[in-house]
Amino acid sequence: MNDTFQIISGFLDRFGAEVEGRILQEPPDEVKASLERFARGNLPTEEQPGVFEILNRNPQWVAWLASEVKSLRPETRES
Amino acid sequence: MRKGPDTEFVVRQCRQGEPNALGWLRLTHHEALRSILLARGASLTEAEDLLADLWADCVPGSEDKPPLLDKFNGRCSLRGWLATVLTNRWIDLKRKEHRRAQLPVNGESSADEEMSEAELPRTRDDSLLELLYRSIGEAFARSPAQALVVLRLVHEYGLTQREICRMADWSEAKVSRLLSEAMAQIRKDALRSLKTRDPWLELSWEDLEAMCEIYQKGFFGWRADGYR
Repeated sequence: MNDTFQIISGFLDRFGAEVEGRILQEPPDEVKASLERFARGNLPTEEQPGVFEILNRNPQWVAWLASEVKSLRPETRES
Repeated sequence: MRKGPDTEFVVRQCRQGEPNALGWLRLTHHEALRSILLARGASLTEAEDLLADLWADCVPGSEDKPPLLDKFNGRCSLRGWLATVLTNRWIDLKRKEHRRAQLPVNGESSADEEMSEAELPRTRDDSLLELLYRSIGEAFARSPAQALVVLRLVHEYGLTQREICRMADWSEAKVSRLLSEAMAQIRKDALRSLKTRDPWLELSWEDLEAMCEIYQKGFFGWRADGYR
């Protein structure tokens, strides 16, 4: 399943007419605040659907949320 | 087992009009490509006619018609690339036949019929590309926002299911179920959409996925029927 979603999602992104202007945009501050809370597991359940809708309309912001979640990973110890 | 000539070498030779190279290409791929077309719903006659045109287009023709293989960039399998070209041409053929069959008995189309064809929005001038894009796009549009976002987080950005659980306060079972059900629904909706548009076309999900990948890797500025 890993490759499947990447392939079809990448296909849509590549051939979509609306690609220009969306790439590299950062979410506005109020959205960032919600995403930061979400990443830390602090977003109330009732607010989650709204955040999912915003992210679905602005898929480029999903990267920002992913980055926030990854920043919380414990650092790997150097061997 | 004896290894055949390198594909890149054969393609280069074909472009230069070397008949042995074309012969090798046909020997290696004709039967498999015919099977692919048959599996996708073509009749034997249709398949053989399309293949005859394909091989003819692989060699240099007139100055304003460079060989089809000039468009192959080597970033995907040649067989997959040729199968995509053939499928696209076959779709165009079937659609033309369908339109002709719908013409009134006197052979003239009404203004309404011409208008309905012209009104179809075609942002991508390639039948197969348009078909795949619309079908997958519609399947995504029908997916719940939550499902698509989680699919992206896991499969595009590499978050673990455990991280999703912690983020959304969900169980691992819920995350796993969400991912598998969402993907299954996307597959179902995309295939149903394909079938609605071109009912004669028999594509499996694996076909669809393979062609999406070939489009991303194999075609740069060219339509998948081999023309600009």
